[in-house]
Amino acid sequence: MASNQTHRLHEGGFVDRSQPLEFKFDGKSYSGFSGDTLASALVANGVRLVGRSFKYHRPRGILTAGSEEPNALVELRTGARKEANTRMTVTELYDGLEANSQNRWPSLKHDFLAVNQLASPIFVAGFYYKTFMWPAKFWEGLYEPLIRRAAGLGDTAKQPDPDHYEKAWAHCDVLIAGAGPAGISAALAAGRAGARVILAEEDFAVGGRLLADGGEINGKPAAEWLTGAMAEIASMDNVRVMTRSAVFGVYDGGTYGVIERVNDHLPVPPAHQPRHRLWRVVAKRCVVAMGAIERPVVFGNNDRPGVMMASAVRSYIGRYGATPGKRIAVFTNNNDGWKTVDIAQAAGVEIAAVVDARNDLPPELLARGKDGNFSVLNGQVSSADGGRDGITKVRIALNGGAKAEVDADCLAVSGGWNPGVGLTCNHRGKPEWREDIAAFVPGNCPEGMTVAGAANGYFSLKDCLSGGHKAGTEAAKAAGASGKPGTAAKASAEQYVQTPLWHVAGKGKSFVDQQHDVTASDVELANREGFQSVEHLKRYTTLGMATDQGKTSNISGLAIMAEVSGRSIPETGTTMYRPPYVPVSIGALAGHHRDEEFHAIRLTPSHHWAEEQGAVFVDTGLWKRAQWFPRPGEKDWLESVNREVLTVRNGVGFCDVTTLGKIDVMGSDAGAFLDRVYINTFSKLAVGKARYGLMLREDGIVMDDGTTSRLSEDHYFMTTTTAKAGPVMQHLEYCRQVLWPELDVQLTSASEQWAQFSIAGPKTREVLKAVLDPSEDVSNDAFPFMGAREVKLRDADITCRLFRISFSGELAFEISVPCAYGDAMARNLMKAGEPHGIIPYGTEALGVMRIEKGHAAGNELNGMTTAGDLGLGGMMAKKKDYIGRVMAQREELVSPDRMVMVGIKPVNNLDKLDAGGHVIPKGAKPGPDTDEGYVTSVCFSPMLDQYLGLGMVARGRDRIGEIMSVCDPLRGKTYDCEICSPVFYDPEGGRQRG
Amino acid sequence: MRINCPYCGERDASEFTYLGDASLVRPNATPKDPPLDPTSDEAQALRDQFYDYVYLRDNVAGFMQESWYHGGGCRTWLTVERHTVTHEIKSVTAAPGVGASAPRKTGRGR
Amino acid sequence: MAKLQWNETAPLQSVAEARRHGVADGDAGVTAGEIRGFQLVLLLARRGQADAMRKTAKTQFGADPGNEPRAVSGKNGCTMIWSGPDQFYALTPIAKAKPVAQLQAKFAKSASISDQSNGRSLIKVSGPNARDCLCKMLSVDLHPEVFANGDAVSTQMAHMAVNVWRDKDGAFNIMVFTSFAESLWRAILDHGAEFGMEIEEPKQLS
Repeated sequence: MASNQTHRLHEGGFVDRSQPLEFKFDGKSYSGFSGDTLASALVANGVRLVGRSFKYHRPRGILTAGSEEPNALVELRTGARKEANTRMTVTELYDGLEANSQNRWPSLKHDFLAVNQLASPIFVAGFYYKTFMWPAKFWEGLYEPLIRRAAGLGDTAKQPDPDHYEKAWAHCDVLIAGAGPAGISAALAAGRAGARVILAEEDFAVGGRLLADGGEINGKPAAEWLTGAMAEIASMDNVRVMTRSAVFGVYDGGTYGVIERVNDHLPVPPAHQPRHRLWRVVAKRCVVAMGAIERPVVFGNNDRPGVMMASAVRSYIGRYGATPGKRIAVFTNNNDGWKTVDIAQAAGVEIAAVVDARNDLPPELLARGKDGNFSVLNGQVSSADGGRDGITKVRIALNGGAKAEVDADCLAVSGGWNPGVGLTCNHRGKPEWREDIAAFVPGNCPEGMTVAGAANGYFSLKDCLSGGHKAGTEAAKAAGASGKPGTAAKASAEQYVQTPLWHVAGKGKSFVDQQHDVTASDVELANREGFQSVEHLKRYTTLGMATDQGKTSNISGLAIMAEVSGRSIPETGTTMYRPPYVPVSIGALAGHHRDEEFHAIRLTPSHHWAEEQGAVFVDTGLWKRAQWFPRPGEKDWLESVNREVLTVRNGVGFCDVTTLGKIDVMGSDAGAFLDRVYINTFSKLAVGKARYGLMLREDGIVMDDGTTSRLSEDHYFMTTTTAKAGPVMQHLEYCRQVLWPELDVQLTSASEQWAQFSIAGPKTREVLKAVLDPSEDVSNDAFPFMGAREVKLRDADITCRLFRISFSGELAFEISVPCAYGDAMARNLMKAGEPHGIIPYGTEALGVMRIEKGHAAGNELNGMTTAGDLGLGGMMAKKKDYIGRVMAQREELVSPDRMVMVGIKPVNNLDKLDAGGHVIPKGAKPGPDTDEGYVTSVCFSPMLDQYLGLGMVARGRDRIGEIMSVCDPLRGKTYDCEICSPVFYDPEGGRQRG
Repeated sequence: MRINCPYCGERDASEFTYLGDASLVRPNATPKDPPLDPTSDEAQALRDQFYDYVYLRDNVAGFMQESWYHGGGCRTWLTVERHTVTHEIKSVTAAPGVGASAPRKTGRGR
Repeated sequence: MAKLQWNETAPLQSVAEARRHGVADGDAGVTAGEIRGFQLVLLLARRGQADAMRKTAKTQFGADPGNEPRAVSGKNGCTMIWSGPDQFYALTPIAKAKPVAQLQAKFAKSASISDQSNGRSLIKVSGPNARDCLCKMLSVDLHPEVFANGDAVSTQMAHMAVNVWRDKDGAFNIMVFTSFAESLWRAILDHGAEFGMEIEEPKQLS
């Protein structure tokens, strides 16, 4: 045994003394054992001061031995893996662990900001709210920075987290939360009955209080039963035990959140393993067996190191073989606190005194002092004395008025037990008050949930075992398992007797919420100032709002509020319980989906070819699209884009447009169906023809546009914009399934089958001829504008679809090839087009050319514009019904004052236009009253050698030629622009029809 | 939340997209011949019907018929009878035109 | 001009090659590979013609596809995978497949047919830890009593739409949109790495 483990017992507990582990706390080296937590190892080393408090920087020690710990928070690990506010009571010790105390400067022992204690009157409840009322400039400049430095907890790592995290799904018949005696008992019963069971335990060891308190089960030591039960469970294929896994939330429909801390017990997770894994467990039934949390009694200086929950004292002695004190005083209001005496004495630890607050203290307890050589005092601890290193003395107000003192270095406090009702209240459930145990117990639980053991308010080992067995049996049966659950294990039924005690007036601050430094007088102040509702109390004082979510403080806080406001505790009520019950890392919530994998990525068939070409890619929804293809020597993107535009306009270029949505619309009523979803008519479109279509939402606003071709009598091929492919598909399915089930229409996405390329420019035909079978005639006569039909490729038996459509305004075709040939198509276009100077072009050049041609795109189809606004009102058919027809006729939507799409050209052709600028009358003062429109899209047009834009301008079509101002307050610019036709280039459209 | 798709079985809510009230019926908007004068009362009445259909919703605290789309599964539009406070689901049925179901005039478009 | 080369490119052409991935020691817990060389057509029954479609499927593909979430084996190596009410995929080794036009003629009255042979990537995942790997991406219950050999689901995997079925050997066949293939592949590799993965040489569907 390492010599510095001054408080390690020679034997006992579940630590492995043959496996010493070295660790550092605040830079100092210590040793502990395998099976320790950081807290138990520090206890074993006699370290009592472990942190400074949030507001007052008071010295703090370890209060509990579990997940509910408010004080003993550390920065665990260093560098990029540093994790702030980590509870050392649930931090498994590993060799080389490094932890630092937080919220102190320069050191834990000499904390400069401990002077805050002297300034404590300004830190009272409601301090923030009251401070906010001071002059704002004082707040921003002075108080906030000061408070930020003074208050707060640990410091986070500044580097990206190098570990990875995962999410996963699990399904079972019965999920059991907690593997103490009740949970294990439930797992045995449900498992034997044949149900699929998940037994989830937050701790790294199963057994719950059995590990600390021992006892006898089936006439044998509890540890023996535990070993046997776990062996039986391990033999059942249908039961899965998950340790280090806390159930943190209950969601609708039997879905539970479980956070598995897969590798927090290792310095670095093994290669390919996550640090945490977030489980979504879908369970038919759930048994909550999460035990109870011991509650403190609030008294003077009750936050001093050395004051500890009695159950925690037993955990350190019984489970970890380490004692928190050499001379322990016990303060209790119930008989369970007396267990501490048994366990400490059995381990050879001296008991100084037992202070029992109950007036009706049974004589046999009074008599125990004589046998055990300690004093039994009938009274209440009023305060603890001692400096920052911990208590030395306990002051007692004896029942009857006298005072007493006891020398002790540890005070074990038990104010009784609060069942762990958190999960049971996740669906707005309200816990119920049970007078006999003076505690809230589960009330209306979420569907499918039952509660067993201490979590249900039945604390004896017998009740835990039988309650767990019953809950497991019933849950398995309800989930459809029909096997035999066997019988429950047996134990004696010790009585839990208590007399409520919440607060003892005494010298020194009395803390309710130790993590947020909320005192009993803060609760009293909240009452005086009218914040008596528990929800107000919580927000006004911040009681229960810290990282521990008030697990040791909420009930005490509301009990004190009840006392001072003259109401009963159930009248006072509890605050809402929301997930998560324990902290869940953000990494676990994100899982796999971070950095490059933040979302799924879609690649076009020519993506890898474009990479070879050095393309710059842009994210378009989930897609990666080639934005431009830089060439050596080009100084910026604009030079590349200008070259691409000019090459297309004067020669030929091609662009991968696979990302457009493509939908096969099939069936005998396909044409009639399209007539109802588009504003224009498709039923009369000839086979072999394409048509531009526009669809509205039912409110009359434009939803999407695209070109739809008729491939055969009952087969149309629709294209949508890239962004709206999914929503349009969903909309069409709604129309088909919900609105018009009488129509014979079948829909499916064909987006992924076809690689689509736009080939554009005056030399397009030459290139096409070189890649198509020589029998294909693409002359203007044989393949006129808006033609659409199948063609064969040169040197291969591959059928493609060719469409004569143009977005660029040039002579252009779009060719669809089966995706497997998309890469080959790009390469062959380059090869076949080489004599004609072909280039690939990206989305930027595509955008420039569509603006030059005045084609509306996403920026103009922005959810606010009508067909009329876009200059497409003439397409709206008069003699048929279609989605949006009626609402599009509303007065405001047909008003002549509407903003409509126009072209916008800076008067000074050297001015740069930016999208987002507001259009106002020339010379007007910018403001909401003078705002008459906005710029939607801009580009530099190499054809016109200046910036151009599209925009929406009120009465725009009547204002062609008017000079207006564009005001761009974001960029601090205002300049004059001419309103013009949106079609800047080739307004007659001769080029695309040639 | 879990929704029991009549075709796929019970699935996580993340597979579904919510639309809203499933009891709405789209008014018949077939144009008259000759077309209505847009300023006529009849035209205004039709616009009022559509105004209800597009915008006016009951804010139900209780069971409600809702349209959900199983886009992350079989692409069926479903009518889900769901309690808006407790999220309890009483029934899930498919839209009248699901799959190849026989042609019928029971859709919510008139 | 020189002859044009029309080389086929599989969805995972540039990433799926035989190798060991993830944990290097011991037996691989997960085996994964791309399946190529198939014809895939989606059949959607015409209004009121679901029974007629199934009847024609029996003669054309050798079995009744049913209308349950199942993957049914037919003749010529064809598997019919349910993908929604009254619709199914027919997956056939390319060498044994009938031309799509011929199928369209046979199903003219009963079903619309959409050729998706290039629209999906097919990935096969198997091995003792296949379920442990896939449960990190699939929200459906993969327990063999719930998702047995021959069962199929239309669902999402790492937020991507997929069709998944278990074949007669219990392997998981995953069909995803071509454009998502590399993204899904990376997700599978990331989630399978801890079990040690064997990446197989891409195979032709047989």
